[in-house]
Amino acid sequence: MDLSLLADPGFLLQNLVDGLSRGALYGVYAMGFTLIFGVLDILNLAHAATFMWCAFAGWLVMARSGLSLPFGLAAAMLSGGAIAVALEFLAFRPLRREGPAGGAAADKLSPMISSIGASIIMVSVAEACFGVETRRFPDTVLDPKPFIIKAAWGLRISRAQILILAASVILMALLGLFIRRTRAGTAIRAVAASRKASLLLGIDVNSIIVLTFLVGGALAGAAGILVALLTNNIVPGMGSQIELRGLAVVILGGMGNVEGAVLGGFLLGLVETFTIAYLPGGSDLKDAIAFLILFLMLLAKPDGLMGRGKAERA
Amino acid sequence: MLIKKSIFAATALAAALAAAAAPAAAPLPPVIKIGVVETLTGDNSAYGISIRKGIELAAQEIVASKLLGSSQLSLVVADDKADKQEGISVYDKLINEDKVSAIIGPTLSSTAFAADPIAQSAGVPVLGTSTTAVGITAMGDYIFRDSLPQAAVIPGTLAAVAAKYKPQKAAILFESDQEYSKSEAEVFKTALAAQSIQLVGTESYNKGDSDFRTQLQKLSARKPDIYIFCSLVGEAIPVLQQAREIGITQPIVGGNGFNSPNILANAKEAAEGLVVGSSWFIDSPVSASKAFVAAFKAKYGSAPDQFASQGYAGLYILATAIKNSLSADRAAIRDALAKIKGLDTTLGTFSFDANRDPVCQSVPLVVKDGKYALFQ
Amino acid sequence: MRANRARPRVAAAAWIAAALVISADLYLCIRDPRDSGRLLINAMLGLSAFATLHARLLSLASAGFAAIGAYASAILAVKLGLPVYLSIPAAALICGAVALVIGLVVLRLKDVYLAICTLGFGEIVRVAIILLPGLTGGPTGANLSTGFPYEAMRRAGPASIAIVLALLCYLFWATSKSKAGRALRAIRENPEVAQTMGIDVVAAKNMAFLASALIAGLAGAFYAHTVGSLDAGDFKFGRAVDILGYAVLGGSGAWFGPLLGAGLLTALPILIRDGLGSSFGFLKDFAQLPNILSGLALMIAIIFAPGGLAALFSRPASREGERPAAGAGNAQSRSSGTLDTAPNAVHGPLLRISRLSRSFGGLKALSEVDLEIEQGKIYGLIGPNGAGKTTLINLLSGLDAPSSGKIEWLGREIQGRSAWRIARSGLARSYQHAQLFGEMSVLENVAVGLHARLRSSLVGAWLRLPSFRREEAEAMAEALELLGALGLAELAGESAEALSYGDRRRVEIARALATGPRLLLLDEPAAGMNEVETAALGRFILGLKERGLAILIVEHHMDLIMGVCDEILVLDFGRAIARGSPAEVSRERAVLDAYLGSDS
Repeated sequence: MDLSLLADPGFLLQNLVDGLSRGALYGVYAMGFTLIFGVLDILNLAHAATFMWCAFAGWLVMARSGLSLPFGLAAAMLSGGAIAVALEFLAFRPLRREGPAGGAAADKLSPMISSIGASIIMVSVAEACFGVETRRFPDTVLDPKPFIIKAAWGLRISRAQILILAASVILMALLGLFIRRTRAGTAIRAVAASRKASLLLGIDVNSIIVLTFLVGGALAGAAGILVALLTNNIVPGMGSQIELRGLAVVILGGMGNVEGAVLGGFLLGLVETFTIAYLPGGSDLKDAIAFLILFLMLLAKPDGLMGRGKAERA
Repeated sequence: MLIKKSIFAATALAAALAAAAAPAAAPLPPVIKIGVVETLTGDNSAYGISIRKGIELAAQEIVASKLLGSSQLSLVVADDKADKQEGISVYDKLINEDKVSAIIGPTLSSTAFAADPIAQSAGVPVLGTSTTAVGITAMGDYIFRDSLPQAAVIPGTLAAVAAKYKPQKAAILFESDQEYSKSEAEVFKTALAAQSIQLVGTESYNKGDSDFRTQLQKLSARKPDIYIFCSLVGEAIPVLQQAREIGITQPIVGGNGFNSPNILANAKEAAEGLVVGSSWFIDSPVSASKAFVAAFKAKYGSAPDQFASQGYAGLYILATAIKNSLSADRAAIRDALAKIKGLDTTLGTFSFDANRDPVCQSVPLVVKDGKYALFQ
Repeated sequence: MRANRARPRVAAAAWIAAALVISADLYLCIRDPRDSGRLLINAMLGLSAFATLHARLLSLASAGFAAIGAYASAILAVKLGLPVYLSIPAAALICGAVALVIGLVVLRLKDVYLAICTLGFGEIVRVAIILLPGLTGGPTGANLSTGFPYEAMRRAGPASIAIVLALLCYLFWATSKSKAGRALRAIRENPEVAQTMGIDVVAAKNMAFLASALIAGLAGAFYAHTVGSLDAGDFKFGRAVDILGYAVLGGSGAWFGPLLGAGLLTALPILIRDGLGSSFGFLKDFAQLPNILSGLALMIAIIFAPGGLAALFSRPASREGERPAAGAGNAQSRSSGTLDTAPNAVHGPLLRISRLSRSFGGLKALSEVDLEIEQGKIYGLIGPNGAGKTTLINLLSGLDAPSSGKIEWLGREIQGRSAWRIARSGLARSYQHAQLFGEMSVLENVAVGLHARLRSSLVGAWLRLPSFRREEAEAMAEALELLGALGLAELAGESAEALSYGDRRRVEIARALATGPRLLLLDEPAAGMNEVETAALGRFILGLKERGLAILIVEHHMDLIMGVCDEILVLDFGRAIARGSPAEVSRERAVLDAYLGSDS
C-alpha cells in the first residue's frame, strides 16, 4: 500500500515542505537552548516553559487585545527575553556564588536541577492562570486558508508555514551575524570558550551572560509564537513535546553549536515527517524516532554532527 | 362480652392493618449517598463538567418531586482527573469511607477499566453515562451504563452516511494511546466492512499531539470518500481545523467524542458537515427531553449536550432503581437496575439489556450552522 | 559542598524537620493505607536515585527501570502465573541485566549527556510499552484480552514493601561503613584522585548504576502489585523529575536523605489537599499548589542547601575518626594477617622511561625524556615552572597518556593503562595542590588509600562478619599509624577540609603511602612549608628510603632536593637538560641558565 505513495511526487513535495517547516521550528527553539548551553555549560530545562509562556503572551496580545501579528511576535520575543533574564537572576546566578567564573566542576548539575524547579513552577502557574483548555487565535490573526500551488502538484502551504520558514531563516541569519560580526557576539564567544580568560580580558562576564539569556529567551519566544500560529493549540502543557525534541536536536547538532542546532532541527523535522508519511505504522513511531536518534547519537557520537569532542570522559 | 370481643376484633384488625401497611410505609433512609466520579479538570473536563450539570439538575428535580419520598439525595462528587490512579483512589474512598450506595461515572472508558473492577468486587453498582468502549459492562454484573456502546451507535451512523454519500473508500484517524479511541476505531473498521466500504488508510496520533498534518496528508493522498475521526475533545478541534486547512472537503464522520458543543464552538466552520451518531439531540421530540432542555437552560443559562442528557437520565434511572428496590442496599439496587424496562427518560424509552447495556435509539446527527441537527 | 562540623543548632533543626516529615508520613499511612504503599514505593525510588547520585552520576533512568520492572513483574505474574514473591525479584533482575548492557555505553558519557541519555531511555521504554500492546496490554494496560486484570495483579501489600525497604536501608548503611562506601564517597568528590588510590572508578560506577536499576525495578514491580493497574504514562519524564526531587531535597550525601525527600514530597500534596484544604477551602481547588511548592522546594534546596536535608545533620565522619583509638592494637606491628605487606625486592630498575613525549596540540610539554628509577633510591625532578614536571607525573600515574615513548614499570609497559591498575601495582602519587576528600575525616582519607589492599568483600561487610570487622579495625590502626609517622595523629578525627595547607600536604603523603607503594611520586610536597617542616619532611623521606621505597620528588625547595636525592633530573621546556648527583647538577651551566636566564 505504501509503495504507491513513494511514487507520488506531490506527496513527497508536500512532506518536504511540512518537514522543513516543522524542522525550522525545532531549529529556532534549539538555537536559543544551545546558545545558553554553549555559554554557560548548563541545560536550561526551563526553556520549554519559557516557550509556552511566550505563546500565551502572544495570545494575550493578539486574541485578547486584538492587536495584529507583528505586535504578537514582538510581544512573544520580548517576554521570552524578559523571562529568561529573570531565570538567570533567580535560578542560575545564585548558584554561581563564587563569582562568574566559579563553581565546582561537578556543579553543572545544580543549575539544571534549579531550572527543573523553575519549569515546574512556571507550568503550574500557567495552569492556574489559564486552566487546561486550549486557547486559539481568531482567524483575523492569520488567515488559515493555505496557498495552493497548482504548478507544484497542488502543493498546499499555509501562511503560517511561510511565516515560519521566513522567520526562522531571518532569525538564523541575524543570530549568525550577531555572533560573528558584533562586539557583543564576540564577547559571547569568548565567554563560551573560557569564562576565566574572559574575566582576565576585562569582559563583564555577568552582563554577557544576561545578554545570552536575553537572546536565547527571545528565540524561545519566537519559537513559541510560531508553533502557536501553526497548530493553533495553546495549552500550558505545550512545552513538553518540544522540550524532548529540542534535546534531541541539540545533541544531534552538537551542544553549544548554533549551526548544528539549525541543521539538527531541519533533519529531525524531515525525519519525523517522512517517518509518519512513508513508514507503515509510522505515526506510532514518531515519538520514538526523536529518542532513538538521541540515544544513537549519544552512543556513537555524543558531540553531535558538528561538535567539538567534549562529551566523553576518559 | 360482645363489646370486649368487638374491641378485641377492632384492635386485631387495626394491628393487622398496621402490619400490612408497615412494609409499604417503611421509608428509605433519610439520606441516600450516591458517588459521582467525573473528570472535572484537565483536557477532557468538558465532558465531565457537562455530565455533572445534568446529574445535579436531576438530583434537584428528584428531591423536589419526592420521587424517593422524603429522602434526600446526597451527591458525593469527586474528580478523577482522567487519571487511572486517581480514579482508583476516588472509588476506594467513596466505597469504603463515604459508603455510597452506588456510583455514577466515570467519564472516560480508560478510567472505568481501571476503577470499575474495584466496585465490582466490593459489590457497589456503577452506572456509566459516557463510557462507550467495548468491554465496559463485561467487567461484571454490577457495571451498567446508559451510554450507548460504540458497537450500537456506529453501524447505524455509518449506514446513514453510506446511504446518502455512497462512499467507496474510507480513512480513519484515531488516538492510539487511549482505550476509548482505539476501541472506536476497531468498531468503525468492522462497520465499514459490513457496508462494503474499503478502508484505504489508518493513521494515529498520540495524546498531546497538536500537529496532525502529515497523518492527514497521508490519508488524503489515498483519496478516500469519507474520513472517520476518533478523538476526544482536546484533539478533535485541531484535527478538524487542520483537516480543512489541508483541503479535505469530503464528509467527516466523528466518534462519540465529537458530541460536545465545545468542539463546535471552537472549530467553527471546520466542523460544518460533521456527522456523528448520538443517543440524543437537542431537538429530540421526546417529552422528557424537552422538559429537560428547558430546565437545563433555566438553571445554567446554556443548552445541554448529549453528555449532560445522559448524566441526567442516568441519575433518574438510578433513582428509579432505588425506589423500586425500596432500600439503599447496594445489592438490592443492582437487582432493581437490572430489571429496568421501558422507563421514560430523556433518551426515550430506556431498558437495560441482558448485558446491562442500554437499549434505546440512536440517531445520526450532522453539524449545521454550528449546531447539531438530524442527519438525513 | 562544604562539610559540616556539627553545627548544633542546624543539626537540631534538621532532626526536628526529619521528625516532622516522619510523623506526617506515619499519620498518612494510618489514615489511608493506600498512601503508605505510595510512600514506600517513592522511598524505594529515592534510594534508587541515591545509588547513582551518590556517585555523582546524574542518571534519570530510575523511572524507566521502574517501568520495566512493573511490566516485567506483571507479565510474569499474570501471564505466566509466577507467584509474586518470585516475579518481583525476577523483574528486578531483568532490570539489572538491561542496566549492565546499556551501562557499558551510557556510563561513558559526561554529566549532562548522561542525564539526557537516561531521559531518552525512559522515553524509549514508554514508547515501547505503547508499541507492544500484545505484551503490555496497550498504553493503559487495561486491554481486557492482553491487559492485566486488577484482581490478578493485586498481590502485595505495604508490609512487604516496608520489609524490603528496611532491608535495602540496612544494606546501604552497611555499605557506607565499608571500603566500598569510602570508595564511593571518594569518587563522589574527586574521581581522578580516587583512581590513583587504586579504585576502579568505572567498575564502581557500573555497580552503582546496576544497584540503582535493581532497586528501581523492585519499586516498579511492587507498584504493579499494590496499585493493581499499569499505564504507559506511570513512569514518564515527570516521574523521573519527581525522583530527582527526592534525592535533591533530601540530599544525596547519605542514604537516608532521599528517603526523607520522598517522605516530604509525597506527603506534601496530600496534606495540602486534604489536611489544609479542609480548613482553608480554597486550597482544595488550587490544584496546582502542590506542584508549585514542589518546584519552589527544589529550587530553594539546590540554591541554599545543595546537600539537602541530609547534609544538615552532624557529620558521622567525626565519629569515624574516634573508633581506632579503642581498637588500635599494636601500633608497631605493620604486617597483620589480612593486609598486604611490604614490597619484595626486585632486580633491575623499577621504572624505566624511554623517549617519553607528550604534546598538547602544538605545545610540546615533554620531549624525549629518559629516566631510570631503582629501588631504594630517591630521585629529584626539578626545573622551572612549565618545564613538564607535573605532566610527567600525570603520565606515570596513568592520568594521562603519552604521545610517544615507553614507560616500563616492573618490567611491563604501562603507558596509557588505567590509573587504578597502576596504583594497585605499587605506583602511588601525591598532588601539587592538596587533593584531599574534604567531606571525609583525615583518618578516612588515609583509609581510602588502603582500598586496594583490603580483601573483605561487600557481602562480608553486609553480614558484618568477624573477618570484616577485624580487617576494618586493622585498616584504621594502620591509617592511624601512618598519620602518626607524619606527626598528624591528633588530627585523625578532624574533617579534612579544616586542616591547614601544610597539614593537608602531609595527610596526602600518608594517604599515598597507605596504598603500599614501591615507588612514590611526590609533587611539590614541601610547598607552603617552613624550614622546620621541610627539614622534618626530609628526614621522613629518608626514613621511607630505608624501608625500601623508591621516591621521585618534584620540588622547588632546593635544600630538600639537595639534601635527600641520590640523583636529579632537570627539565626545561619539556626536555631533560641535565642529570646526575646533586653536586654535579648544581654546577651545570645549563641548569643555571634555565633557572636564572642566560646573559650571554
